[in-house]
Amino acid sequence: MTDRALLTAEALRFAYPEGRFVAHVPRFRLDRGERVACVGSSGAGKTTLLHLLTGVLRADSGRIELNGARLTDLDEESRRALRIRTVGMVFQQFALLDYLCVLDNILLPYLVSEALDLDATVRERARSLAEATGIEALLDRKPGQLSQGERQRVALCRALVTEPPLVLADEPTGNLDATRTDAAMDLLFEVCARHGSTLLVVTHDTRLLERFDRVLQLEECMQVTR
Amino acid sequence: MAGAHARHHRWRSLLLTFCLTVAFLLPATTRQLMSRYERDLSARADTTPLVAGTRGNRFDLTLGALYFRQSALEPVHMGLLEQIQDRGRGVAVPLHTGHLAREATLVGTSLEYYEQRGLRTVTGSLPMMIGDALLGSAVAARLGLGPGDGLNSDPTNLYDINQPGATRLSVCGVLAPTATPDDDAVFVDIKTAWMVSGLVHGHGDVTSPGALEEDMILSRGEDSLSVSPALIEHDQVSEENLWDFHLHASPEELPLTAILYFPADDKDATILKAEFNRSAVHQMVGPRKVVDELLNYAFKIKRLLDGVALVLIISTLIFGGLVLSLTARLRKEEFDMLHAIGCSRSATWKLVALELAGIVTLAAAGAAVGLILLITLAPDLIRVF
Repeated sequence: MTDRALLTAEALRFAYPEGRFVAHVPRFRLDRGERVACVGSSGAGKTTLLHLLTGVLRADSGRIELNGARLTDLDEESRRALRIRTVGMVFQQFALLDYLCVLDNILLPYLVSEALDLDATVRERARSLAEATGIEALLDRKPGQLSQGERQRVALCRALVTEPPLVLADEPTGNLDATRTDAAMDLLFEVCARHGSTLLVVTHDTRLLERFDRVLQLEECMQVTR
Repeated sequence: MAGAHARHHRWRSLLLTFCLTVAFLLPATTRQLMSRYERDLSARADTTPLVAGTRGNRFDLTLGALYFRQSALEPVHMGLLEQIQDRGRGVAVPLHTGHLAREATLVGTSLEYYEQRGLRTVTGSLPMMIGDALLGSAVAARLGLGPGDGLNSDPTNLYDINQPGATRLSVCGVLAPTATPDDDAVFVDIKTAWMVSGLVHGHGDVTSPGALEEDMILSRGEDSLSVSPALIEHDQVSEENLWDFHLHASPEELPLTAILYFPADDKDATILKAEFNRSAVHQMVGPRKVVDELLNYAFKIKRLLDGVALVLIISTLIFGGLVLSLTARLRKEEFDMLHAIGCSRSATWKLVALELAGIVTLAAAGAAVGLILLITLAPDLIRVF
């Protein structure tokens, strides 16, 4: 892996235990600072690809290197530690925890992982991110009291609070209207650019593709046998 | 996070806590009740070696003699007490119950009762004279009475002038608390008990010529006089009328509810019991044995209650398990998300377990507080006597 490459995968093979399908990723590469879109229809396996590349799902065979570490050689705990330090995730519908306030939602990776230490610097970073995304006044509120746009900003702050070199977004605008989609993507690009994070977005919204450095077809990245 | 989740879903958490509190509290209360019951019953029985009475239900005799419960047994007579006393070995104590004074059991006995039970007065003295009443601590507290005050016995029948009316008793002292049935009783001399029953009575002179109007005299014999029930009897003993009190029967025939016997030694106890058990009319029982039988019945009920409590706990655990499984299903997306960002599966289960542990701890604390409140605010539920 060259210094430019943040994530590379080769000859990945994964079969769901339930036998739903077998996925095969011949080759995949993300360079540092890139903004890449991966397009595929609903149910084509976009989430499976993201989970394979980040070690949430363990490939049956093949090799993945993430930020200089051989992910496929690591045990479950080490994969989790690498993932939480290296990858920020933005989920479809944002997946905020309705019982935590906005600040705790942003700090969630620190609350659930022993691999990260929650200190004053991290709290300050969370507040700075909230300020940068315009939600600094909402830190004590619960997600149920927020608008869709505000929730999306919280999700973004949570993905970036660990200062990850890679941000993965799984259909981040899937349930937003056109105006809000544009605003959300503006924010995503801006914040990732500010932090120098690589951005991989999986989406089925072709309207957004012009804005990315590279656009991949899911079928090209991952072959699925059902 | 576990606390935040529990607080966010406060009604669900409260419901679960309440169910668990009830599931903990019921068996704890039963256990407390039964152990108190056993302790108090056994302690009272242990300090009363033998009880004599009319042959019949031994539970009635024991409960009547030890706890002053109303007994359906026929009374024994004073002559029996004298027979036992004539043996000159242990101490025989007469007991007469069946009347009330301001709803407290009126217990007629002798001075030996206080000595054998180790009772002492906190104020005043023991009942030395006919008409004196010694109050148990709870009765004194309830009625607010002390030495020098008066206390009326409850009349047996308000509508029958042939029945004895209320007798005015004079409070001579108050006993120290003992946490036994003695606290809830009013003690009088055995003669006073007979006076309340109407067996001993006092009235003015009826034999002197002209002492009574002729229409009050029903019949005249050689050495007897029958007067109308309309003759007013003394309802209170005083220094002036003390010598007016008398009885119209042989003292040996006066009734006793039971006789407590404190034997000189085991041999004395065995001989006396053997003599009584040969009798077709009387019986003598060892209260400890009778109480043990009672406790066996109580423990059967306890086992039943324990079974019910176990079912309650199991059903609550199943209910809790169901809530957990539904929670896990409802929170699947949340747990998947947490796993995706780097949280271990075990950590997510730790969150659930911590929340549940918090609820169980709260429920256990609630049950402990509930039990303490129950003992403090509703002592009659826990108290045997």
